[in-house]
Amino acid sequence: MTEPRTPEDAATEAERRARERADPEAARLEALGEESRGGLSRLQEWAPIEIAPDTIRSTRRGGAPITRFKRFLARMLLQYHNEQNAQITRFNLHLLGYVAQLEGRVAELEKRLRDASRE
Amino acid sequence: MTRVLQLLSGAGPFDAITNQALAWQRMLAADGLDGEVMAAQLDPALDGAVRGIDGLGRRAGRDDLLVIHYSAHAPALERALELPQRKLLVYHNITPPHYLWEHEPYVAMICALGRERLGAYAGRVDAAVAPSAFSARDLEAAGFADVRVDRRLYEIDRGRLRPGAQEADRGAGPTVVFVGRLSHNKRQDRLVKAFALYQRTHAPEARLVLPGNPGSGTYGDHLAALAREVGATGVELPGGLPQERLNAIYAGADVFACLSEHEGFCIPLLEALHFGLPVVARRAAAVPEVLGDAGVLLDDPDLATVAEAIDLCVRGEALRAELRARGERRLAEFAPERTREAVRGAVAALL
Repeated sequence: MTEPRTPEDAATEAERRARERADPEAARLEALGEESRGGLSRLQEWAPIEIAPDTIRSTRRGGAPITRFKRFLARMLLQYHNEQNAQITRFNLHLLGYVAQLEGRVAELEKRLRDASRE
Repeated sequence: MTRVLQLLSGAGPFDAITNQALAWQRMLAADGLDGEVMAAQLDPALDGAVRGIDGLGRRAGRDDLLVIHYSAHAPALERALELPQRKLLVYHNITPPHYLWEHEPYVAMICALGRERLGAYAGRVDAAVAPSAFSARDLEAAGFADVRVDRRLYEIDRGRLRPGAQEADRGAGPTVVFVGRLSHNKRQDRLVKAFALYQRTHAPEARLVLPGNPGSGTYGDHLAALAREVGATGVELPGGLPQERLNAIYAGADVFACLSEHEGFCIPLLEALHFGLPVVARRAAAVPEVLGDAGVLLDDPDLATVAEAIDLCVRGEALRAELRARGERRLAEFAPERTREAVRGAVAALL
């Protein structure tokens, strides 16, 4: 095909060239870094509450002293925050354990159902 | 005397909705309608143009009009529904939270609540307007009746889009740009990967510039790591930038590429057209409504197709000329007088 002159032709031509090139690197990149957006393993990763101290910062221009002050306050309140995080984490982990148990039971029931329908 | 009080969930210096609310304030003031912009959460970097929403009930006069710009949950906005004044809801859309849980859990939470609480506004505002049919569908699904769609609600001030004192920011090779908050729904991660392919196949000297506020999340760090992992060089993440600096980047770019999966509108598409940039975009959400026929729209594209489309736009002189002509025609539909008319129309019906 000659060089496309319209965006509609360009879209078609881009697809054609991509198919023709069939670059294996394209397939590798497609798969790379795609995050699974759910699932028990992701919940397990999120359940323990840990806030990295460097997430505390000022968004003001020249806000470095405010950032230092905020981090100082966070250190002063560490005992309180640890207790709070521990309570939230405790709830999250217990809930997660319960969900995992339910997931196992559902899987077992589904298996029994499949087996029964085969018999 | 009637005033127009605009209410936002949050306001910041590089926030598109904040800037549009301030633009509405200027337009309405030119029509003799004074007002204020107020937000439930204020970025401390703001220069005082926006006030806190506390005490709204005391400050609002009986005849004032409340314009609720809805883009996230904020209890203070919902409390405004109890006030006796007439109310206009402007729905800018809300990012579905599944895009945000990984890198911005707080934003994900207010988005999840915002989508869930949208129905609470139905029947409690006097009118609702959305800047795209895509966004209007959310309102209808939440129980709103008679939703008005007007695509000209956002100000595209072409006077503001001049490079100014700064020279065009050019690289040694082609420059691909996308402008927008660093957020997973905008899929800068896919753009980094498509760019890596383009660079490897067509233009080793190319660079990718991604200006955008990283917010409080970790998606920016993820993008920087991804660029290293895919072997892309020249990927720049300069953060949120003032307009003059952005203009210099637009002016030095060769292609604007948008792989967003969720956009309530996407003003940078029109800014790119202003700079005569060819636009390659995924046909998703409100993107086709904004771009019309003035860009290369790709249906659910794979990375290789995006890389080839970028290359066609960089090298095809005839294609670039056609896109520039279509871009100018498209921009005429968003001319400032049309926006003024749209804003006046949305507000006047309730005065």
